[in-house]
Amino acid sequence: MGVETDVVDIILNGKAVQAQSGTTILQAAAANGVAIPTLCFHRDLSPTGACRMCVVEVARSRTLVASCHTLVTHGMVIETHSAKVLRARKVIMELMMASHPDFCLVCDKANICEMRALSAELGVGVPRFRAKKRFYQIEENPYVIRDLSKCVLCYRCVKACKEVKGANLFSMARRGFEMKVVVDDDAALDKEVCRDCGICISHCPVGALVWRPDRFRKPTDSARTSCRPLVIKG
Amino acid sequence: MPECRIVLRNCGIVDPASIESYRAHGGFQALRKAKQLTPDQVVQEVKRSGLRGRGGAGFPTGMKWELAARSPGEAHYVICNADEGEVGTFKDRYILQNDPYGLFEGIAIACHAIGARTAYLYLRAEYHHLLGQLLRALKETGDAELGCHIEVREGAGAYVCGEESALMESIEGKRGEARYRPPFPPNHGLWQEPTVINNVETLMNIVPIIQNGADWYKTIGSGPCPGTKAFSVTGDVERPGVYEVPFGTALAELVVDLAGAVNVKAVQVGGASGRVVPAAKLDTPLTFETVLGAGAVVVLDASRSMVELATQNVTFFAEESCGKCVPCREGNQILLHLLTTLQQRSGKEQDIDALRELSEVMMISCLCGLGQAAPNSVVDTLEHFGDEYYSMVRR
Amino acid sequence: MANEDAGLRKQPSWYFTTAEPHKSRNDLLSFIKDVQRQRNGLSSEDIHGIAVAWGVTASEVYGIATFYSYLGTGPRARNVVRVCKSTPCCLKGCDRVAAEVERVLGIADGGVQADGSFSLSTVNCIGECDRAPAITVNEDVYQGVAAADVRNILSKYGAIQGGEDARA
Repeated sequence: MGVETDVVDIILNGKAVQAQSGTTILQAAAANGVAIPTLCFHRDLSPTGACRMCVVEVARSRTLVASCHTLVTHGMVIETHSAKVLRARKVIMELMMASHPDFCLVCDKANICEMRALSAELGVGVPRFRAKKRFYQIEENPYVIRDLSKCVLCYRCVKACKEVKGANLFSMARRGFEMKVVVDDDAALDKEVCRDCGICISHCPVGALVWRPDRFRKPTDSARTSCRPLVIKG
Repeated sequence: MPECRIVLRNCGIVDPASIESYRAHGGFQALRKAKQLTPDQVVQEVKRSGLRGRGGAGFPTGMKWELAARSPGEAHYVICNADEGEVGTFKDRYILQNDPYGLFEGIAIACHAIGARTAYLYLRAEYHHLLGQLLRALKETGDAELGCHIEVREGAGAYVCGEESALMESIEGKRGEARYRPPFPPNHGLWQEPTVINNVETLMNIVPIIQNGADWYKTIGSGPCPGTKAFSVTGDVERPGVYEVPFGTALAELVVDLAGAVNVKAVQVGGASGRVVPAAKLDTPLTFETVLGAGAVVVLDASRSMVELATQNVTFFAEESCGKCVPCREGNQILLHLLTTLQQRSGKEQDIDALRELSEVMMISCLCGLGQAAPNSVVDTLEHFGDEYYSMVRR
Repeated sequence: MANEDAGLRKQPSWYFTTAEPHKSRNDLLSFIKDVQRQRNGLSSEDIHGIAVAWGVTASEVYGIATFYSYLGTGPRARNVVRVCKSTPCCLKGCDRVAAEVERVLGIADGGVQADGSFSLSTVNCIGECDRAPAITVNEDVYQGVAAADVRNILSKYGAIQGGEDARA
């Protein structure tokens, strides 16, 4: 077999550069100062490959390649911002926007919404595609407000809960367009089902999971049963 | 060209319920011959034969086996993909019904070649009615005869599980969502161990290759596609059924001469994910490089609407998408919406442009083969029958 | 090829852990199926029971059960009628067969009779296209079904109530 080295030579956007072997195209590009947009990827979590936002062109590959889960190999020729790539990203964003609610103005996370920032970056204005949207009841427990109508099914809450917290509260259910993140057997997130660490909230790229603004308020007697003061357990 | 039966050699000749009948027709001789060879010799023979996977992608089988055999792991696995979900395919069902022992023998040789002790036969839920017969035949054959253990796993109704990575997820007891690749199954497959996944029909070629040699096999078929292909022909034909012809046979010979199609408008080759061939191109040779897929051939006569055909296929994919990646989950929904709008005569010309652009992006950006192939029929009908689309635009 | 191997030798840990090796889990699918068959459906109680027995969360069991079209949650009819709606069957008039089943049983696609005796769903290709159109009732397959045959076929599975004829 070949020579064992820790560094591989790649050609990134026409420039010969080096990358650590065992890193993804995404990491290798970042190390060389090229930012590739991502949505379902999060540095704390294992890659998912669901949103396809980070696709890049790799020479001799029939299709575009998602950079978040593809490792660099020696001699790889990569184009991260070719016309073909940019068009694909734009269309994918348009698809995502088509089923997303148009209520950015009243969304709690509007200022930190990754999807909103990304669509601005890609130049997606009013989406071309119009199709049905997802409608779900807003669910509230003493800490979290969950609005699945805004969910982009990126798996980040599922993975954060499982991989970072080790709790595995969420799971994907159903399939295709009907796919949905569920708790228990599709129960509403309306009671304290976990220790409310908020890891899912900070990992949610959109406004589907937000903190409840009044979560620190002292509970009244009547509400005490459902809303206990937060106790940090070992 | 007449039919040439290699894969279907025993169908209708051997009694599928009697192992004695299979033995009397030369059964298990190839397995005994293979056992006298080293695993690597078997792999090399299959590699030399040029056999390519019949599931649709046409990957060289011998190379797949070699990769898996050389890949280190605690255990190696062989999976026989009998999740034949492609619209209009039933050739694997025909094989399972008529020649189960021939399939077991092929699986056993594959196990010997890559050093697997366990093989899984992933049977689609829709074929539950075959399970009893298969289990009986397996019990009758016995692990000792085969030199490996074959376990039948039933699916639960999901087209995407015919896609190899989703199939493995399903065997592992999970949702059948596609995995990203690399890593590829021969390196990290079932439970991350080296795994070979072959279609039923692919494995049916193994026995004749071992028995008669790679050189014999290469004399059949055409150039880079040696051997034969079994086709399930349905639709507007006189004689629907399974036909086996050498690679390179013209489409017309299959659908007109053998199956008796008249007044053909178009033929969809490869099921819902397949390509649509207009009548003017019926001389297209059937090879992996032209059109093929899993071998579902649906003939449509002059009375059929091509937009309707595309809509049906997209509806199928919208229902069968696993939902993991955005372009497939959302894209099929939008394609369906655009096509429905057109059919309701309320679409605009921009909608047709949008169909085209969306299809192109889906084909290059989806996570697995399902999403990448989903817009095939839209693209092809737009190319060959574009008038039908434009005639539906609201003026 | 050789260079590719050298590059792949140093792989990050997630590269292998897309699927965790839960070998014990590999029969979960057939187990859910068995539970569903024996208990005529999959209740919330069943889902939690399976989750405890297999050491997975209820949400995972729910996720699996709702992914596959032959699983599903909630009560199930005693007789499940499936009408294939894929292209080959469609070309041979599966619409007429489906309409006749709807008429005879008095339920729409996806519906269940009030007494739980029959349910109807139109499904994607069931691989019986050589003699289309095809339908299945429970685990029995019927090929080449004409609308006129529907009543005969269904009456083998018990008295039919609630259909249009019954109301007339």
